[in-house]
Amino acid sequence: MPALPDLVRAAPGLWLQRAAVWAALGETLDARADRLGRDGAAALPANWSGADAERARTAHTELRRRLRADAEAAARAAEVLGRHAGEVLEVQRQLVAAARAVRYPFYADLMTGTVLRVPGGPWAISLQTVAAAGMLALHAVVAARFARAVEAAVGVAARSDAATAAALRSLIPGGGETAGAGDPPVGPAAVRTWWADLSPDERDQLVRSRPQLVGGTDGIPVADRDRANRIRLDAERVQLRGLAARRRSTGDVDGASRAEAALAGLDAVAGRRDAGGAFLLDVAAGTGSGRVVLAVGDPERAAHVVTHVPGTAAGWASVPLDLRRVEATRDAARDAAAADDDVAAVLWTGYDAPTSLPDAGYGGSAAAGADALREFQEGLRAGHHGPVHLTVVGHSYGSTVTGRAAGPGVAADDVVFVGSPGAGVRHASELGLPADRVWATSAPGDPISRVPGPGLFGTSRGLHESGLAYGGNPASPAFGGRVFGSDPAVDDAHAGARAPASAGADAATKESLDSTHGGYWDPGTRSLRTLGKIVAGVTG
Amino acid sequence: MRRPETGDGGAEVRADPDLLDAAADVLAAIGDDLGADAAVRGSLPVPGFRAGYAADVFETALAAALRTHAARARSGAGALRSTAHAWRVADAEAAAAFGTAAVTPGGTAAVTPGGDGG
Repeated sequence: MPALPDLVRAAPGLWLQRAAVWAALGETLDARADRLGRDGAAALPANWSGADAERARTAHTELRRRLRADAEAAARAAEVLGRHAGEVLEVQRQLVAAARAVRYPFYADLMTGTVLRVPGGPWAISLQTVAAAGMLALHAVVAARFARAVEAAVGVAARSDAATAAALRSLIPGGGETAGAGDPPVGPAAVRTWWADLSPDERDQLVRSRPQLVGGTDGIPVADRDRANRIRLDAERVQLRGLAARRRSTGDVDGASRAEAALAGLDAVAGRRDAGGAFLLDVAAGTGSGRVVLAVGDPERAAHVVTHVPGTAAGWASVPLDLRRVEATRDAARDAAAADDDVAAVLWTGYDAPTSLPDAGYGGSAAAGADALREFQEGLRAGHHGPVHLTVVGHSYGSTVTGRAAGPGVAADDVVFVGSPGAGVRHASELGLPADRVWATSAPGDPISRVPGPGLFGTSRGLHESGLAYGGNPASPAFGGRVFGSDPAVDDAHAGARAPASAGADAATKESLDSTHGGYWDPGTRSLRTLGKIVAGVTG
Repeated sequence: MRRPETGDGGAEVRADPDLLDAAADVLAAIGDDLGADAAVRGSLPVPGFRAGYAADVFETALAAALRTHAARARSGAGALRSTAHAWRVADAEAAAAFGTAAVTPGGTAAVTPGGDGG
């Protein structure tokens, strides 16, 4: 269904051009069918008889029939598309008329559907004045009227769009047998094969017309996903700009700030992608703070690929911070890796991260995130050109997601739990990896290891005694993995944004959490150096 | 080599190779034209509009159908030429068997079961 920016950007004139081409083609095909049957042209000689003549006439007649049918389909499709173009043009005209009806001191933003105040207008007067209060009321009236016009226009366009799409589908030559690629099969390996079997035209068509499908499906090559996700990224940024503007215009300062922070995160994604050497593998609003999967380096060719899974409060707004950690991990791994080995690092916020640890729970975020992470890892393995060393690093609640994703058959060679509130399993042996490929660190001052947990915790493998809030403590020797030391800096200015709020934490604990829980990637720390070695596969 | 066949029930089997060749030429030209018609692709789906995608799918399918038609037309033209050639060869062989040409080159050959050739 088209949204307002889609409607504003639409170019019905181009559709009219296509309709004209189809109409002309319909006439041409009719003429060709005529020529097939005309004496002295391609018509079969009347005095030709025999079994061969009969068969030839049958084939000739069938070709003429199909040409006539396709001529009619082209003509009808031209009519359908032309009508749709006319309806969209009319809706655009109505939108412009509604926008023009918004008068000074306001103006309408067609891309966002909002009514804004002209800078320097009567708003310069103190808002405490009666005049300003009156202007606020007037603004509300004007904004509501414009919003109704926008809603009506989008509704008409959506109905026309749906009807046109259905009509065009019904006219597809051959009854839709060649209607396109359809939906992908289940599983990254099958998706990879399905995608490879499509023609270049079909692939290109899917990228442009179904970017959600292409961009969000594990197993599709990263270059194609990146192209599709760029379309989605641009759309999300437009929507966020509109959202921020609407909230500002209605006085929702906090809401506007949140939208602007999310927009800044997506701007950072766009900036990193455009800088080169990065692939955007997913971006979606989801039901939380926003999902994003961004690979720095080429995950299909690098010898080592690390997936960084952030925890609570991760989303679009946290991209600048998360991306710094991803880049730091990659740099550390490149320092440790063999000279010929390249490293790709993926920021994987492919799940709806909870806003805080107490909000997280077992059933929701971790379970859904674990399934998505497991499939993503399978896609990395299936899509890689040759052997690859895969590592998953889960931080904070992201480590819980990582633990739940792991298990027999998981596409990971090493798993690392950093500042974990619990691995989601009781023991390293449940992760589907050799115990010496399971790693964990928890800084001495990180209060995450003191977040109280229930007496029992439930996993898909049953109920177990709790070590931490969300399962066994992977940084405990009893867990069975390899524990490495950390000395996170205490002045991490960004830690607060990532800090999970323990329900019972006192102020001192909260401060300590803020200062240490996010310091594992600080330059020069033992934790970062060890992470680099693990990712580079040089730990011995 | 293909010989003139008798139809079911002994019906007359007749052909004019020159007319078959002429029809083949036109059919081949139509095939080429249809191939050119298949270059119809050109629309760009507009993000958010399912109709844009449907239009693209329609155009892709139409182009594929036209390519198929073009191939059938060319194949038909080739079959007509083969038929004309077979008739000529058969006629020449029959003429050789009789020791004289049954028809003048380019003329009409006709065989009636149980009757006289030529």
